Amino acid sequence: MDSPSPSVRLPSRARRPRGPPPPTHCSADNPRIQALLAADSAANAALFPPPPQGPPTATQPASRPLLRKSRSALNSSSSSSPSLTPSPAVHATRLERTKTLLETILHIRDSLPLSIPPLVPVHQLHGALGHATCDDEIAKLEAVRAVRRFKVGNLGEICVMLVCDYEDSIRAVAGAFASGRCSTDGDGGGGGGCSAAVVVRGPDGESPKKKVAVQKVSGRNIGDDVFDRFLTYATNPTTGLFVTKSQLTTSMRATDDEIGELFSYGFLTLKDVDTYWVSVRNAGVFWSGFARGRTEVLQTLKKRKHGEMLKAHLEEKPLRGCAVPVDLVLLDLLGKGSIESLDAPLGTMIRLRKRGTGNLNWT
Amino acid sequence: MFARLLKFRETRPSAPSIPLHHSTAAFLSLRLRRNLTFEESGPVNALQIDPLDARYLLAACADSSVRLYDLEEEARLGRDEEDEAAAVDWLCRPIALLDRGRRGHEYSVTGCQWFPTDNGLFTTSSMDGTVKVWDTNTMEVHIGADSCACVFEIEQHVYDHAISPIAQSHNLIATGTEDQNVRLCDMRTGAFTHSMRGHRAPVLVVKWSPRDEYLLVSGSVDHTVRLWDVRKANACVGSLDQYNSAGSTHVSTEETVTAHTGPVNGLAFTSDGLKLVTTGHDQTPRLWDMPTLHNSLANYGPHIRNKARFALHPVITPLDACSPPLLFHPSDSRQTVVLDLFTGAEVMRLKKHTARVACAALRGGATQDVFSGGYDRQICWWTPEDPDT
Repeated sequence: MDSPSPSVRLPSRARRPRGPPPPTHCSADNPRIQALLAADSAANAALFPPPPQGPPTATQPASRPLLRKSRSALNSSSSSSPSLTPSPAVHATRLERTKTLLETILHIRDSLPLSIPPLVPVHQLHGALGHATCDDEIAKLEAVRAVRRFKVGNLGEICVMLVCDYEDSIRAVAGAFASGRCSTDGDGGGGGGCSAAVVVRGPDGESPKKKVAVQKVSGRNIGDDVFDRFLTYATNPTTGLFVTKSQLTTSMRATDDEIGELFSYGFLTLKDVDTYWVSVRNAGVFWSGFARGRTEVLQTLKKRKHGEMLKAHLEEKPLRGCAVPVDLVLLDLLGKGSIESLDAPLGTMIRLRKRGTGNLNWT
Repeated sequence: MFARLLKFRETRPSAPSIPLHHSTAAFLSLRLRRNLTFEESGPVNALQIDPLDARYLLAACADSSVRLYDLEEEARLGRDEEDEAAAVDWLCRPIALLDRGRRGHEYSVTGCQWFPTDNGLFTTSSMDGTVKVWDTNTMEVHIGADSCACVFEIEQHVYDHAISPIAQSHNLIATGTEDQNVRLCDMRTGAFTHSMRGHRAPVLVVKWSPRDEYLLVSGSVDHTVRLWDVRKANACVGSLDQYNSAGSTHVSTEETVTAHTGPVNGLAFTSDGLKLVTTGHDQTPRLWDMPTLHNSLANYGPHIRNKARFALHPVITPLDACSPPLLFHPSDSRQTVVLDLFTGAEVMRLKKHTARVACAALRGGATQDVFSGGYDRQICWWTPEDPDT
């Protein structure tokens, strides 16, 4: 088939054929997630649809409506003063909250491909649901053991993951570990079983070193139920984002070798001397791709003259080097405050937002 | 029937108070005062209006000067009829100026505080390592009872200092210094009392609680906010933990607890002392419940930019003047962001400065004026919109 001549250039969007979309996590198949949803909707029955002002606080007296009405009248008169009159054609996108937090998490999780762990950065939830009550609701879900927060990446961003997904990943490793253990009598079987487990972990770039370390497993002091103990400890809401070695030895009765084993599998990441972040396997794969996607979106916007683009244009092309779809990256940047979303006559526009270079020098 | 009326009076939800409603509406309609500008001062680090008369404004500037303004100068000196018709801009000049030098401070002045019960005294702290107590009338360093000049030589950069607004039994100045201690200076004797050890990095901001005269809170570059009881030997009463909220059962160890993921450089109490707002370089202000030290997970959104290693002074409107209370947070993005304290919603932004806004101050009394000072050498006066104009 002849390629188009240079004088007849098709726009790049139409030229590339799209393959079938990669398989994604599907929450409809998972019975535990359905049970979670049912429990959550029962708990939220009284609150859904959420009140527009957010949950009432103790400091607001019950006769609020009287004050609110007259204050809004004053507000409208003051906003018509010449300081700032936004033109009605282009205005900030209003956040319509139609789903509960759990439904949003599931919706985001469903769009993630299977090659990366289903982590949901908290900023995506802020972008989707607004800043006001999001943190509260995440804390409530954590207390019920439905989700868990993890610190991911070196910038200190917090991501949320369903506890059932985390349990699945631990159990997968535990299964491979146990089968590797059972088949080992000497180094050959142990190496074979464990190297299989190592290969499953994916292109972290550390497999060659870990293969050597893991093959010596038969000589080390590791209990068979180490992953089960870790599972119960990590899914306990009291554990927190990071743990110290002393906490691990007391609450989980983990030996040094077991801590090293968990570390090599990626469930603990180094924070400080003797302090570890509780983390997710392959979180590095997720985060590096996500960070690349973020920088790509921001650079695409920077290249434009005024730093703005139609959202539809941004969502057309998939991101290079990032498995996460574009609209999730946009949600995350919206929640962080690096971009803002406007409704214009042409459609939704995304604009880069400079938070101010902060002139620290005095003239 | 009488019993029924009495029961109704006692059990009905509290009626809205009309003065509270009006002052809240006034706060929500703040705008820049048009016919008055302050003369160009140095880059302002701190502002304070005296709590007694709500009349005098002290500005501590980064060019080592301290300026004193009279806010009622306009009323005092009067305006002629022709001036009013011509709508001349009134230039507010300082009534007193402490310049750079041996008499004043030699480096940037980082804080200024009025003495809580007397207009005649104020204190200033500076990066040249001194905290000086001044006599307002003579603008000289105050000579104490037994003629001790009240200059406290700390020999470290002093980032912030504070005097307790309710103290009856002590006259201590708490100073936050470069060398990780919070040092207490006693104004009665002119000497240091003790220092409170515990921080591992320079202390950027200190504040006394308006509820307990012995409770002191300090924020530091090591990401922690510590509470101190100045009466105790082992003074540290607690440390705020950002992962410790009301529902969570998370337990952090003593060494690893942090209040922010960056240096903490701003503290503000509500007027009843039950809530504390801390803000830091991670650009998320947090609201803490004081008696329980829980992080009430109020999310203030991504509107603030805060990257300077100086004390920032966010202010909260008094609870009897504005309900729901507002948080005025100066930001490096040349504006003061006004946020609802409990819900975290952005109420408005006060934009006038052309450089970083470093401080905000409320004028007490019956007015709802807010002042903001920035590094563009300007002080802006925000006043409620006049309903007639």
